[in-house]
Amino acid sequence: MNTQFKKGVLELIVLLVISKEDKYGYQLVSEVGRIVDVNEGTIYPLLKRLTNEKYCETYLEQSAEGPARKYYKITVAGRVYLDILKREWLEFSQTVNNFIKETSKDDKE
Amino acid sequence: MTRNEFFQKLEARLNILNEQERNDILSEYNSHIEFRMQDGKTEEEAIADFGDVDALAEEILSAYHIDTDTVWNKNGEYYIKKSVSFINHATERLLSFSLSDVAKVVVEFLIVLLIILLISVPFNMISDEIGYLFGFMPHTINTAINSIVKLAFDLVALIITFVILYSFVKTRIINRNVEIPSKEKMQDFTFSDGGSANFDVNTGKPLKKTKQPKEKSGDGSFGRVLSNIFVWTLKILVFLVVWLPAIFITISAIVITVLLTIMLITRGIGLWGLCIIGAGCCITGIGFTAWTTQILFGGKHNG
Repeated sequence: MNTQFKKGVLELIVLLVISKEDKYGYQLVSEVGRIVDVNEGTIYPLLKRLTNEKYCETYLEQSAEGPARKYYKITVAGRVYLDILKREWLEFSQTVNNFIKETSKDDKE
Repeated sequence: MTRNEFFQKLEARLNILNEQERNDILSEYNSHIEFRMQDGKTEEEAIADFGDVDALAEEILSAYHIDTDTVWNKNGEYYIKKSVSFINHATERLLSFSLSDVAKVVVEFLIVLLIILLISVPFNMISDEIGYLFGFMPHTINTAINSIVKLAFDLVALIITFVILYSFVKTRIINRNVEIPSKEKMQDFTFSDGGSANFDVNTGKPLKKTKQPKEKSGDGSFGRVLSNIFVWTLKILVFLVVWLPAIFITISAIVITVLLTIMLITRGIGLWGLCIIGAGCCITGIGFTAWTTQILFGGKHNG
């Protein structure tokens, strides 16, 4: 898929993933990887930015196997931002879909 | 790349961040690699999944709204990296050309060389003329001015040559439209009613890429070796032709200036003009030497 498409929608997907449940880095990355095929390395900077912009926060939790894990938790501001992103995405994809249908109809005539 | 190498490189790229932020990011990548290895991948594979370290660092820094171009421009190593990837790209493109295309490139290159030669002629003439203009001056000053003017003109000519060669490689090799076989060319242009030019009209399947880089798989690494050799010869050349003379000239400029200043103070001879020129030479010499030193050995400071 077009890398520019992926980049734009990655933020939305990451926020959606942590809106259900707090996730630690690797868990989050693999979950996002199931939806979009993206270079895993690029998700961490995105998480960093979301944290810097206060859309999510982090905390450490000990785990039975191995070292402490860093969890990502969505904030209230993050939820508001997610709502905006979701609405924008739906509107945008709707418009594009409609346009695709419109133009393919023209083709048939 | 081993984990140590990866982290060393990444850390060097991120040295603009404060230590805590940097360690934070690096520990995330470290634990990612750990998890990947638990899932049965090797360390190398896990690191390879991150892709190019430079691109990754750029991505990370952009999360802090840091423009990597301005940061890395201070780092001589970055220029070398950029030129390596440029040369890599050019050689790989060149290897994918057919024989007739290569022949064309060679002819074009010869023409460009001729143009560069023609351009340098008026430069030489002008710099010679300026030399005569100052003929009435005392001999020492005249010689000094002459050599400075000549150096300046040579420098301009060199920069113009470099720019011409760079744009030649960029437009005629990297962005070249390679001639495509006529049959596929036909398919590309025959239909005008809707559809994308990249799809075959009859089957609806995407057209084959017009020109597969034939030797790509085997020779991609060959191109890299070639450009590595090129870069190393360039480095050695810069070391021998620029760095060593620069150091020598700088040191002698300093010595001469000091001697002149001592003479100026003790005997009061009217040498103040030469003193100023000498001091200027010292400053530019030191600056230039420092700059080339950083380009040549810059990588070591980061590690």
